[in-house]
Amino acid sequence: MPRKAVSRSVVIAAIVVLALILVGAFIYVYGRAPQTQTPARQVKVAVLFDVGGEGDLSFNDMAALGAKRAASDFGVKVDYTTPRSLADMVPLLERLSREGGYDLLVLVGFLWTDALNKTADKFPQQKYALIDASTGIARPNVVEILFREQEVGALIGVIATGMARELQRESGETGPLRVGSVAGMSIPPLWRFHIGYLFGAKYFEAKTGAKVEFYWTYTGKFDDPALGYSAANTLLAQGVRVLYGLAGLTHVGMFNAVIEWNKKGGPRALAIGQDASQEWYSPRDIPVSGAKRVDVAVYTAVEMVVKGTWRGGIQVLGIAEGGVGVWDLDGVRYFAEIAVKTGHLKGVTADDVVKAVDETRKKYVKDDVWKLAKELEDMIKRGEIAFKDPRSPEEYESIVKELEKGNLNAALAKGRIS
Amino acid sequence: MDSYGILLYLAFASITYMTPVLLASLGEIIVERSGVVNIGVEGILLASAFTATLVAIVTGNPLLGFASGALVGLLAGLIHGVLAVYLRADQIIAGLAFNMIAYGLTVMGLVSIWKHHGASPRIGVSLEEIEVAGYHVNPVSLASIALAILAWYTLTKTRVGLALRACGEDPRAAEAMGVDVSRYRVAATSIGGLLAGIGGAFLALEVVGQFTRGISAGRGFIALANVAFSGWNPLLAVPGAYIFGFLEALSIYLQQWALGYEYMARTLPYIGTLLVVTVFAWKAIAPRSLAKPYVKE
Amino acid sequence: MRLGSLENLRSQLLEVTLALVVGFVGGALALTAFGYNAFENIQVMISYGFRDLGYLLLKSAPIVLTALAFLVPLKAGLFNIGGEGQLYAGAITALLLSKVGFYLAIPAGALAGLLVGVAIGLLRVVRGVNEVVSSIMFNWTLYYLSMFAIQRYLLDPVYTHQSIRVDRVLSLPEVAAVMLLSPLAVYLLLYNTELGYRIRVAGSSSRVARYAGVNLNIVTIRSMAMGGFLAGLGGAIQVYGVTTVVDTTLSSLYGLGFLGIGVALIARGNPLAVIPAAVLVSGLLIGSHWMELRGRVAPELADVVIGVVILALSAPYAYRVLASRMGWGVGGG
Repeated sequence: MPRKAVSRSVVIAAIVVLALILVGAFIYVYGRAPQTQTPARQVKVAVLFDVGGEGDLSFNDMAALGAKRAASDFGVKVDYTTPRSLADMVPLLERLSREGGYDLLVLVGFLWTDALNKTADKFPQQKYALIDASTGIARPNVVEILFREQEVGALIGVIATGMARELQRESGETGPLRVGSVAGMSIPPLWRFHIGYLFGAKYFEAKTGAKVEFYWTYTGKFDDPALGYSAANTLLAQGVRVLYGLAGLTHVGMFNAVIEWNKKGGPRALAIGQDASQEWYSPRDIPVSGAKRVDVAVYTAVEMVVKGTWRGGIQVLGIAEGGVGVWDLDGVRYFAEIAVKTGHLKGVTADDVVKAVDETRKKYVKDDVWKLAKELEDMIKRGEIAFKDPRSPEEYESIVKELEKGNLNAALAKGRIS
Repeated sequence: MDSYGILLYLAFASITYMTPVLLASLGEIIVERSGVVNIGVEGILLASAFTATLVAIVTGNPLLGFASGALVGLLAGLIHGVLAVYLRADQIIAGLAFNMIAYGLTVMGLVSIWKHHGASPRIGVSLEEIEVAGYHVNPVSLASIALAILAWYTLTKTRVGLALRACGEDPRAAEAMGVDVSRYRVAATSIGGLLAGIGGAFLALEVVGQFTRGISAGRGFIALANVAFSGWNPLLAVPGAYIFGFLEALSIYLQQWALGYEYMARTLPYIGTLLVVTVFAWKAIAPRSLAKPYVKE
Repeated sequence: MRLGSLENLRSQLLEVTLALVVGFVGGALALTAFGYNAFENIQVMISYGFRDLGYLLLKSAPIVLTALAFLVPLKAGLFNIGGEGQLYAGAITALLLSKVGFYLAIPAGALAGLLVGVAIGLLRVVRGVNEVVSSIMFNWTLYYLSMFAIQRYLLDPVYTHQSIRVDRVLSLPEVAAVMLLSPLAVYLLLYNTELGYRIRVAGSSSRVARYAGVNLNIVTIRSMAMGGFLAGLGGAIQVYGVTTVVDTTLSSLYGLGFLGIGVALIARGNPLAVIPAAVLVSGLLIGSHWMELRGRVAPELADVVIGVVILALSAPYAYRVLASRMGWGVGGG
């Protein structure tokens, strides 16, 4: 049986090769210089991501960005880990708290809420920062940082509808101004985005008298860009001309759909990014991004530990606190520079991106729209209006229904729009 | 566009959406008809999408992207074939492990090449679409339907196809016919991998426009389901992939009116596919020697 | 165990040992290739992964059950890739009945899994629907239905990203008992009962089964029912013994069914070996968190290391050949 003999000798050869490589690997390992010891009094921080982990183009990435900036600004040592499921969070947090090796544990995302509730009181010496969620309990050793996504949504809503108006003027299309979103899963932060975005679109309608149609799509996934592509194409076919990406990696597919759509030469469409400034992706197609400064939240938490200004409690960051907003051109430049440095942008400088964004904004976001957005921003900043934070899916849905009817005040917990 | 127009639009657009699943299904049908099962399709989609992205970015040529995706698929299929046939590995474990390894390596590739855990840069080039009756269709989508017909013809009407099916049904008899079962099986896993590789390249180049981690998002497993759905018949794999692609796009469209019930709407493609296969209940019998290593006496 | 199994056991142990060595060498190579210190990182992975016994047990228990859920139908020649969906059904049903009491909720969860298993079996028997199609479709259907059920009916009034909490939680010994007794029960059932015999005959060859007078349809439904029952129980245990809540993104349940398939196969279809196999995989997964924390090894690279270990376990024949070549007295294939 010649073939069998061949396959056996192949096996033996493979084993020999493996053994040789094993020896090589060991020599390599032991031939390495010993690891340098970290200085004794260096502050150590562990960032514990959500199960999505780094690379989600959303709050995990922003958290990592903030931690890296803190590490270089303060000389802090930062370690990271990504739990594989909700079930890993309690044991992981308990062990890290018990070992006490870190001055601060940064917990990214609402999935950590439960684990923190179970751990925080047992380890009063351990400091925690919970980002993008709250246990609802103020503890001296815990900082909780939440965001008012409604506020950024509202500004984007006004700007998006304004862009839809210019796009319609350019193409000569008729009918209502159609704006939409490709969203991920139905979770509390997305409820807040939805309410804000819809509010902004309807605010535009109320102030300018233009007829607006609003489209919201939950894809049910944060990591399926092909689904985002098909969802976006359907919206484009329905006549939606401005699409807001609220689905992490899924809305990468939405970007591609819009970019391809614009290449076809028909009526143009525009996309809007979220969390980081995503304009650099394709500045002529994505002129605007909403900001949610998870990076600032993480940075601030680390800063409090380093500078000894720690104060536990719950913070909600909105426009007034600089926690959310619309990325300005400096922000666009900052993220474009990162993209150039990592090779995501080739043959283009950050200046080119900023210039293209500026031109596209000038073309599609007219002064009256900026003014309208600014007006809304100032009302929010001065605390004249504040948005509701829905406590149940039913409340969220009823707010959305009222907003769709044009009842702007249904979304407000404080103040009135006349 | 009115809702009738949208439905018509979805019906055309689904030809694009179904393509990666269809190509992976065709590949897996050929693999399984030879008596080997490769549940590493998901991993092949990932590995080929990654390679196609890298090559297309570096060369600026989408065709080279497709070629490299196909090549990586072929290599993955070849490895699986050698493991399954010559080393008599448990085919399911090997496939599962390949999925894990491909996922991990592609993300590590992202990190080491582009310093990001989730996404590559945009590719920026893709194939020109063809216009059919006023709608845009991707040439690869049309080619994949032609490939289905070719695969069906080869499997049922040619000597090679007969020999391949014999390997999957009764390898001992095939050997008696003078067929080299081991070689046929390894060839089948390689060709199957190649087709899935084109599917992965399509996903990156023509759908998403770049690579993102886990870009296949379960489509490899949908392809596995489609293989059984089709009753191991390449012709039926086309409606199988199409129905799924259409219902998925439809479910996203419908839930615009179903706030609070969006997850109910999202069950549509799965329940719909299940209903179709239950109602029509065509004869779907797996190749008799599927996943069993053939040991010569 | 049957006669002559000692020799068999010895060869299997040797295979597994060799596979683990090859797997870890492969994993070390992957680490080295990406510029990490392989030795230190694997040391971290193993020492942290297997340190906390309680955690290890809680992590393994649901996987043991989903592994058995795959294994029993496999013995009958069925490919139950639907453990994932059956687990969701079990978890959500048990959660729905949390107010009734856990002694009812947990069996009800298992029963819900059983019903899904029976549905898959019936579709195959009555309409000839291949179990791979129906399993995958059920998995995703139940995935979305579960998220819907939590969002609509089970949401916590304060923490709106997760379900209500179950009142009574299983203690560690109770979870341990389920984890250890289930494989034993499956073993006894497969090797010491008439049904077990029929299942195994059906799995060996449908022709033999027909000669032996085994009704394949009944065996199909019964083995799928058992598989579904076990996965459903796994889901109920995950909720009542481990997480006590389910989040609206289902991350507390996602993937447990698929892990079970790998574990069942590492265990070579032996119900008792499922326990060490599940502990091994769980330990590696736990350890990977620490590899990332201590050595900055991306979690995805940990997947590669685990994948290589699993891959190395897939080809026992290769080691048998090697062993016989080396003259270690183990029969070649």
